[in-house]
Amino acid sequence: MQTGPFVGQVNKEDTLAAADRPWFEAHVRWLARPAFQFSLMLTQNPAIAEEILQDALTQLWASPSTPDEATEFRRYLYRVIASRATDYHRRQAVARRIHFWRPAPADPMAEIDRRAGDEEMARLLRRLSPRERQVAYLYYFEDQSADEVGRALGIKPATVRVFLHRVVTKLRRLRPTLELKEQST
Amino acid sequence: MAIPTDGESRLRRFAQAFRREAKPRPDLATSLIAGLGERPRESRFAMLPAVAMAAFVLVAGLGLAFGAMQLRSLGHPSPTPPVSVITPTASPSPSPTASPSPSPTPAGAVPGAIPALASIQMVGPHLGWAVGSHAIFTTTDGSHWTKQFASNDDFIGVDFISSSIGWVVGSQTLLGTVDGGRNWTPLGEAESLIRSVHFINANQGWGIAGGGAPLVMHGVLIPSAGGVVVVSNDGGISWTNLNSPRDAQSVCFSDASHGWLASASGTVYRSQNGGQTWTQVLQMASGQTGLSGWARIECAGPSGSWVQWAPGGAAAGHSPYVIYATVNGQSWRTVMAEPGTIGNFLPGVPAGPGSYPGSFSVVDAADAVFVGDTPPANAASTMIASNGGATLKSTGAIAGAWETFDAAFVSTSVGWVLTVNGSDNVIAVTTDGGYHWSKQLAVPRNPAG
Repeated sequence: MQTGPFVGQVNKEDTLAAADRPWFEAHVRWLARPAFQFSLMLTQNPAIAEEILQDALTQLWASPSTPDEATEFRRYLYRVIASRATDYHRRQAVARRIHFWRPAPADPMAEIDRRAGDEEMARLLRRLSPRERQVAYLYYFEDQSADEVGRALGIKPATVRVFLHRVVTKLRRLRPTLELKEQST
Repeated sequence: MAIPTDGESRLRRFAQAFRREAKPRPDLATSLIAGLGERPRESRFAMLPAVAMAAFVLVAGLGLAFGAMQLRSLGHPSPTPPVSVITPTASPSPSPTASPSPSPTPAGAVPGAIPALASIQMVGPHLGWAVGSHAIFTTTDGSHWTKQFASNDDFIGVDFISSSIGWVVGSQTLLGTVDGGRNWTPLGEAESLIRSVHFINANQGWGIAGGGAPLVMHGVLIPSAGGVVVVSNDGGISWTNLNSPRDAQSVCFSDASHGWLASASGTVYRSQNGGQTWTQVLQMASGQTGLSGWARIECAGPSGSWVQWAPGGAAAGHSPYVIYATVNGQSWRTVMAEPGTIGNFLPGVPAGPGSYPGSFSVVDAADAVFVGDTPPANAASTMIASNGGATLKSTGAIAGAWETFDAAFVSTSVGWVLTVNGSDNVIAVTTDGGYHWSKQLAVPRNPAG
C-alpha cells in the first residue's frame, strides 16, 4: 500500500484502551454524527443532544448485552437516545410548570434552522410530539423503512405508519398548503 | 433560494439541509469515546425535579416562617419596617438550555455527508481511481482495489488525464499527482473553494469554485447557486476567476479553446475562446416555477457533449431529470427523461432508467451509459445510449443498489459503478453492458452520507 503525507495522523490516545470490545470505537466513530443529529432533532439543543448521546453511549458501553453488529448497535443506540430524549422532554415539562424557572432565551437551533434555509419547516417539525418527531426523523431524514423505524424505536411497523399518518395530518393542519402525501404501506 | 412548494420535496430538502448544517463539533467522536472512560454521571437535566422540589420546599419554608413572625407580632407595634417579602427570582446559575452555539460553518463549506465512495474515473480497462470520505482507492488490474491515500479530508471528485497525472477535489483541498497517485501534493485554491475541475493537459484546466449549498451529485460537487468558472494554467497551483454566466455548476473543455458550461437555470453555454466569453446554446426544460436545479455536463470528443439536468421539484418516489446530447455541437437531442414527472410534459422523449437522477458515464460523443436510481425498487437499472442518444437499450440492474454515486465506463460493455450494498458502499463492475454485475470493493458506509 502506498502512503501519503496524511497517513498515520490518527492520535493513538483517541483509541479505546479496552481491548475486549475493539468494535465499539469503530461504531462510535461511524455513528457519532448521525446519532448526534437524531438527538438534536429530538431535543432541539446541541448541548443537551450531545449530553444525551454521551449518556446513551455510556449505557451501551456498560451493558453486557450491547450488540456488536453494526446495524443492531445503531438500532440499540437510537432506541436509548429516543428514550432519554423523551425523558428529557418530560422533565422539561415539569420545569415549565414551575413558574419561577425561566429557561435561558439563547436558542442555538435558530442558527441551524436559518442555515438549513427553511425556518418554517423547522417550526412545523417542532410542533410535532417527541414520538412523532422520532418517527418523522428516522423515516424522512434517514430514509429508513417503517420496519426499520419500528425496530429502532421498539414499536410495531403498523404503529410507525400510524405515527406517520399523524405527522402528515398534523403538518397539513398546521400548513394546509404543504401538500404532503400519505405514505403507501 | 426559493422554497419548494411541494410538501414531500420540501420536507426532504429540509432534511438534507438539516443534516448538512447540524454539524457536531469536529472532535465529537473522540470526545464521546473519551467520555466512556468516566464514571456514569447524573445528567444535569436529570437533576431538574430535585432542584425544583428543593426550591419549592425552601420557598414554602420561608413563607411559613414569615407567617409565624407576623402572628407573633400581632398586637405589637413594630418599631422597624415590616419584614420585606422574599420574592423568588430567576436563578443566575446556568440553565439547562444555555449552551454554546454550534461551531460555525465556514462560508461555502462542503457538506459533511460525503459517501465512502463518491467519485470514480477509469483511464482504461485496468487502471482507475475511486475517491470518497477520507480515502483514495486505486486499481491497476481493473479488479482489485487498494487504499492508496488516507486523509482527514473528504474527496468528491477525481480527474485523471493519463495513467500518471491526475487531480482529486477534496472538501477543503485540491490534490494533484504526477506519479499515478503514489504521492499527492496539495495545490492551490481559487478565491473560494474549488468544487470540481476538468483538465485537458498537465497544465491547463478549468473548474467551478465557490457557490452556496454544494450538493454531492453523482461523482461531482455542484453548488446550488453562486458558482463561478476558474482557470489554471499551471496544473492547479494557482487559479483565476473568469467571467462566467450566473450560477455556474459544471464545466468541461474539449481543448484549450472549446468548452461547455451548464448553470442552475438550466442553460447550457459554449465558449470558443478558453472561457473568456460564453454563448448560450441550449435552454433545458424548466421545472416547477421558482425551483433551482442542478446540471452536470460532460465533454465528449471535439464537439460532443452530454448534459444531465435535474430541474428540481419532486413527486412521491420520483425526481425529474432530462438528458440532452449533441454530437456535433450544433444540434441537440433530448435523449431521455424521468417518465413519472417531467417526462409527461415532453411528448416523444423516451423514459430514462430510474425514477431519480442517476449516474452516467460518457464513452464518446455518440455513446454513454446511464445507471438509474429507483430507491423503491431497491435496484439500479442500466441503459446504454448510442448514436448520440438516438438508440437506447435497457440491459440489466444492480440488485440491492437503491442509490448510485458515480459511474465510469471505458466502453458500452465494461464499466464500474459506485453504489450501496447493505451497510457498505461498493464498487460494482460489469463486462457485458450491465446485464450482470459483480462486486469488487466494499467499504463501510458513512451513515451520514
